[in-house]
Amino acid sequence: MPTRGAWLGQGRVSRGSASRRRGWKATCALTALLGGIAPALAQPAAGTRRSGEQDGPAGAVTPRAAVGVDATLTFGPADPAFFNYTDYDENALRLALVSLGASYRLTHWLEAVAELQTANTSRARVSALFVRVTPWRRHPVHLAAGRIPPVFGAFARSRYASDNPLISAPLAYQYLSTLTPHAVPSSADALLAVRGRGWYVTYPGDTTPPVDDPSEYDPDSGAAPPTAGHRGVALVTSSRWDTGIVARVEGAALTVTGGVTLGSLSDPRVDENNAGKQIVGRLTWRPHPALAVGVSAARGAFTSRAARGTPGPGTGGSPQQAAGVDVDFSRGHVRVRGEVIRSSWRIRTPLPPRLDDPLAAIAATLEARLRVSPRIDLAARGDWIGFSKIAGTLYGGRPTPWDADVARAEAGVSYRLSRHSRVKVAYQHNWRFAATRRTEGFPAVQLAIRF
Amino acid sequence: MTRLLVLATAAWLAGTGWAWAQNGTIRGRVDVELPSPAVGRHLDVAAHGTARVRPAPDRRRAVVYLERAPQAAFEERRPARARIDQRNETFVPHVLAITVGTTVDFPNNDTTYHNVFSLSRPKPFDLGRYAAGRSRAVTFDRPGIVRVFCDIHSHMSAFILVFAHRYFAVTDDQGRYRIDDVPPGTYVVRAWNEAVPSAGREAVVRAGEAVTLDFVLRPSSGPAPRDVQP
Repeated sequence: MPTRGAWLGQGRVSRGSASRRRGWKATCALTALLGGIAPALAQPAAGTRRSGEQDGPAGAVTPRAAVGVDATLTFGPADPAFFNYTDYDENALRLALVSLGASYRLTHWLEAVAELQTANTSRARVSALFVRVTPWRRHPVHLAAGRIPPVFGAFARSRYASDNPLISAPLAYQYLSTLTPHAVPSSADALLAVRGRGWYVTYPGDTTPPVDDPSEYDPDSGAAPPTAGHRGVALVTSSRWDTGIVARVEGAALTVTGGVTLGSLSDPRVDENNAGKQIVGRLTWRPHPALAVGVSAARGAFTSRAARGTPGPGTGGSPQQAAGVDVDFSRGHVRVRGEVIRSSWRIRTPLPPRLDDPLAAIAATLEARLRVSPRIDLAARGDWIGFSKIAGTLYGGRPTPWDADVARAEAGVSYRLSRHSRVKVAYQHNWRFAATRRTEGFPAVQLAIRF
Repeated sequence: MTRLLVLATAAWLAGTGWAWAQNGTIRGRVDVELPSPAVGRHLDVAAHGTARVRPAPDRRRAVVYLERAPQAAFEERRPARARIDQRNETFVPHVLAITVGTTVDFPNNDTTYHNVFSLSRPKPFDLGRYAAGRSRAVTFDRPGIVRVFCDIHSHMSAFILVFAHRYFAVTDDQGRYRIDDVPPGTYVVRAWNEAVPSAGREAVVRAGEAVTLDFVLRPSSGPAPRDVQP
């Protein structure tokens, strides 16, 4: 009797890695190592069960521990105008980021979570370390304490490349302004003098130590790094998580989250540097499965203790306040996300011309993704940050934005290699509305993998 | 007239019932020694709360099938319909076995959006995001193993085994299976499970008889499921 096989064999997707430079090679090796660890840890334990020896399904036996690795390798050109630099002095378009996360469930209501992260093979740092507590079985109330995921906004918790259809982060979460928590401009003119520079900032006449982080200094000589200056900060820093305690209450359509953390949105701290705390809250309303609307607000102490030592009246306090609205709509193969954030900083300058009103900035982001096939996504994002105007003696005394407005347009395509790995190719164009470095365009390629 | 009636009855029996009576049955039980994973792989560092407790899929289900079947079985094409629900962020059933040409409905009976997709070579598809109460369907026109996921909920997965013939069965919650109407002959019967290598055994089917064939699937019992070749 002639017979035939039941089906054809299954193919497998092969993964490859490209590394050309030494640092990249090391990062790739670390990625491969961590990638090997995670599946190895997930291998079966010694004990096994026969189907008839348990009450429930075997799948119900969930392990107490979980591990995960996120790795992104991004290749792009140099960025001499600092459009893509993050607060850790790395170009987001030339970044090898590897995160190893682990959780352990002590009881059904208590879980410990930790994550180690290394960027461009730098020394690994603890990017998350907290406990999750769900005190009541029947009430959806959760607590988290330690170095916790941020509460504010829609994007800060979605830092992983798997949730980002493009390569860069929205400007509000990444672009470095000329404001720094480590120094206070002596006057409005001192702030206007550095507008449009971003990244490292040195205000004219500033006498505070140039770098706040002791690890930046040479361990032998104690000398400041050659790029001495203060770090400008983004409206919301997403690459560093908050430290504090947060509570979350989930309802059918409403979710409310509130917390107390150290530092402020622009400068989340692990160790306090100004004796101030941040109050942050978020309300998410989901009127329909297709639509989520979020409202966030925060108020925290911004200026560091060292900067408060600047001579002059009223330099203490200096809170940062922010509010944001975000919308997430998805249906079929389309997803659209938008967010508007307004942040203000009360900075009191010791010398005239003074800053009478808080410095403010508004950021707007609109992002769209279209899945054209199971493996291919197309995406585009438009971004803009506008800064409030101040008046000094510079620029003819005309009211002028205290930092140069910035805009970015980015479009890209991503190809899914497997369920948890994808390659993205994107092009972004940036505009800075200032005298120098007005526009820059960057192509970039990214490999994003989750284990 | 009586002669005509007898002839007609004989022809009918020859075409259906008699032929069925001449075929045999393969039945038995599959014990799966399923490992208890030491470490899970669905980690959400960015969540503020502990993961919600939800019913886990029954990963002990196995599919038993004839590795090679009579040629005629491949020429049968009966358009069929099957269903995989999405409930409590779980695909139900977790394992589905169908024949080529079957259309599978994926109704969303949850309170949230889901996005069912597969990258498997026999049938890559992406149904997009759709809300509770809605359903979308996929017709599977090539044999093979199709892994199904949700793009929103990484803990959701299911298996669809698409066969080119009808000689297969999914085990029940006690591990029992039964394949009826198997023409007499010698076959290799294979048991498949998602977590452990499959195992094959030879069975001789005789007309009108039932063959009992039990399997024990354990981590070292044979080649990996994906390596099964016709």
